[in-house]
Amino acid sequence: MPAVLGLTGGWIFFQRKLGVLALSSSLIGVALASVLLWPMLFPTQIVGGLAMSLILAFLGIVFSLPLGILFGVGRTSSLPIIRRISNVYVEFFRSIPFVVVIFLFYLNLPYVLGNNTQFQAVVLALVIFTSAYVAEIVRAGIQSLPRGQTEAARSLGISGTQTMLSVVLPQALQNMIPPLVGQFISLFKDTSLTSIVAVLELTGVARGIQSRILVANFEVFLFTALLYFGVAYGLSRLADALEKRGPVAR
Amino acid sequence: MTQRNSILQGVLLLLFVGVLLLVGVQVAEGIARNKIGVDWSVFERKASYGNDDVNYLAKFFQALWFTVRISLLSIVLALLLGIVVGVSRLSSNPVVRGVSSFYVELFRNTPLLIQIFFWYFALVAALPEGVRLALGDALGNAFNVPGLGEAVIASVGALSIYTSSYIAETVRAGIQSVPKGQFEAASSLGLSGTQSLTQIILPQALRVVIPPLGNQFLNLTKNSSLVHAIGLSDLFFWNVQVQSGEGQGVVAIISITLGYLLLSLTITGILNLINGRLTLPSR
Amino acid sequence: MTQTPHESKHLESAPDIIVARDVHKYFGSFHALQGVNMTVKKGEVVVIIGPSGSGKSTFIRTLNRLEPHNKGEITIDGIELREGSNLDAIRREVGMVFQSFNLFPHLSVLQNVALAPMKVRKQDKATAEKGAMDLLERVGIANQAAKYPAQLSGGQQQRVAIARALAMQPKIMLFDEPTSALDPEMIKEVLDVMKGLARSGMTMLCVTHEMGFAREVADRVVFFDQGNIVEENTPEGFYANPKHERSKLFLSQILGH
Ligand SMILES: Nc1ncnc2c1ncn2[C@@H]1O[C@H](COP(=O)(O)OP(=O)(O)O)[C@@H](O)[C@H]1O
Ligand SMILES: [Mg+2]
Repeated sequence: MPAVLGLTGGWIFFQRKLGVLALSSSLIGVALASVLLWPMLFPTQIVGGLAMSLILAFLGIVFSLPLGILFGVGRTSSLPIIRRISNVYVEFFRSIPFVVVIFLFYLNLPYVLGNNTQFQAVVLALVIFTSAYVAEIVRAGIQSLPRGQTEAARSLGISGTQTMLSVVLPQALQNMIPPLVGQFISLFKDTSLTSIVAVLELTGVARGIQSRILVANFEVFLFTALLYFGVAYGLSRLADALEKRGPVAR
Repeated sequence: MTQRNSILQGVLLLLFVGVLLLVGVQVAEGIARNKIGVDWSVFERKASYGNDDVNYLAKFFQALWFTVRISLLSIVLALLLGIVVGVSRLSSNPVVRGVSSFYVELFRNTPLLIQIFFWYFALVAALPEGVRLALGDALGNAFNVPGLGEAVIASVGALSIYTSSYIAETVRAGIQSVPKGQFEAASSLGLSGTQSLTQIILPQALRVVIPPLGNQFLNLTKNSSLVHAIGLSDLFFWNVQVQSGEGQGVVAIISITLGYLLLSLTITGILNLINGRLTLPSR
Repeated sequence: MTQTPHESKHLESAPDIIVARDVHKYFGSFHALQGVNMTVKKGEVVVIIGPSGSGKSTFIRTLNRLEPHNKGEITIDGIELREGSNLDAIRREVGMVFQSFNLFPHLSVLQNVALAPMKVRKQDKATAEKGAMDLLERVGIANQAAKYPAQLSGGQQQRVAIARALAMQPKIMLFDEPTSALDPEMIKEVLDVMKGLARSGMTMLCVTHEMGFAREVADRVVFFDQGNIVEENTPEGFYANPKHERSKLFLSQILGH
């Protein structure tokens, strides 16, 4: 992978500065890609930048699912207080920028979680923020089901909770998989914002390199962008394929 | 409402408020323990950044206004670019189609922050000297950030291109959402191509496009908070200054949260108004 | 009351199982049900007909409170339907079959039928599936039990829907145009199941324009127009010489003359 990136980067570099040897910039590319991918620049780091981004995104989406389902179902509840709490939660986090949430949690949550819990605070920020978007996906998934599904279940005497658990959610969850992959892609890109509170994920490492060497800015950010692109584009193909397979047949 | 439901709601409400209180109290204690203090009079202190001699309150509104202006300019550019690219994606010319698809995929699948850095550290520097200086001066002055014109170019460039790739998808989906039968019905009634487009297709496509488009405007405004990373004094920049320069992180984050809420609610309000007008009656 | 019950059924001595008095329903300012009165005896088969939009669906949906009524009284098997009454208990007694089947697409045919007995009656899986198989046998599609709804024809889906409703052993079955979404060649297989059910003594309210069905098994035909009952008659009486002008007009329209 780094070699391929190196060659591509080298080619672009070659195009830009005709006359510079493509080979040498390919070497720069390989070196850069390695630094971006493996934890070699910062001694405190245990995984590389890209790995860190993926870990953050993965933790974020996994833990946001239960919360997102809770608030998403809450938004469709017939009980006004539950609906209102869920609406406020979702609308609040969708109305403010992600960096604000990250900053807020990063600075204040260690008071609750204890010393040296900045990392946990950042993960929690990803979870809370993402769960508001997941809640929207859940709500849309539920409301896109034909009303007849609930009516059929209720007319059999199945309780509201049971209808949600055994009729509505199984279908809604299946329809929600493509948008959830989309949400994961967004989250993966958004992990770049944690570099603003000095988390050493891919963007943080890139900025570290850039501010140390102060040359080859073009190459540093190009390679970083290509790494993000590779993952995000690959996943978006996957989401498309899932979507093509279509919602549950009915 | 049955009694069981009322009890359930009460318990959940208590639980929710309880969690909020618990976290709030702990944070408040932590703040007190670390002698940070929450001093709202920080608004009256003279700002330690910028060379105009004003207090943080004035700076807050300057920052809010900056966020609004840079968002508005980027929205207009994003809309124009997005429409062009979106229509190009439906072009019958495979080259046009390919290029516009590449554009959309490339910019949608790369983080905005990286794009901002890329513009700032690489692209703007690569602009021809004359263009860079002239445009930089013009934008720097227009946005009251003399000397930071290049950062403005980079920010507006990155924000508008990033958002345009989403708008392009919205536009494409909007046009495709109008069933082919509508074109056929319009032309079989004897409407001309332009008439079909303006009387039949666009009014229907717009109904589909406007809600997600509004969402993109909202996103762009929130995303403009990233321009602080290349030194532009927007709302988030103000927050960082008040937090690190004055040690008033709590006041700072509450203030900008309210600032962004105000912006978002305003945009949402306007959008709801427009959507209300556009919705067709149905059962 | 204009009903002339089937001799063989002894409906005079049967208890009332559905009593609806002065039922009103509003959708916003639209007055969809304008004071409907109807009493149904245990074991009676009632066919409801009337023009589209006359409130037929709305009425039968108020009987299991899928649509709460705004005014009047509905009593099902002695229990009044109102805010706070034990709806799930009443709905267990009242089965419903919809025009659009509304099978659960993520469950197999067998699971569709066994779901409610398991979740509501708390039957174990084996018992519920055994009961479900018996019912599928009865509606003639036991061999399709493992398939998913999307793999069945419309007529088969509707028969599964009937089996699903029967699995709760309801005392009353409501049908809302069960054959209107079906191709002509499938209508018969569904009607045959319904006729069998009628002959077995089930209390049935059927919104349907199938005249053959009404003549063969209905005890009474009820004609709806503009949110109320305009005529009640025996099937023979209703189709041969309707009493009301609007019934005549409607019949002449559906019979095509
Ligand atoms: N959910 C609803 N919201 C608003 N109007 C409704 C609703 N359901 C039914 N109606 C109206 O009530 C009237 C009766 O509808 P319905 O009972 O479905 O008629 P039928 O089944 O006799 O064709 C119709 O005019 C219909 O438009
Ligand atoms: Mg109907």
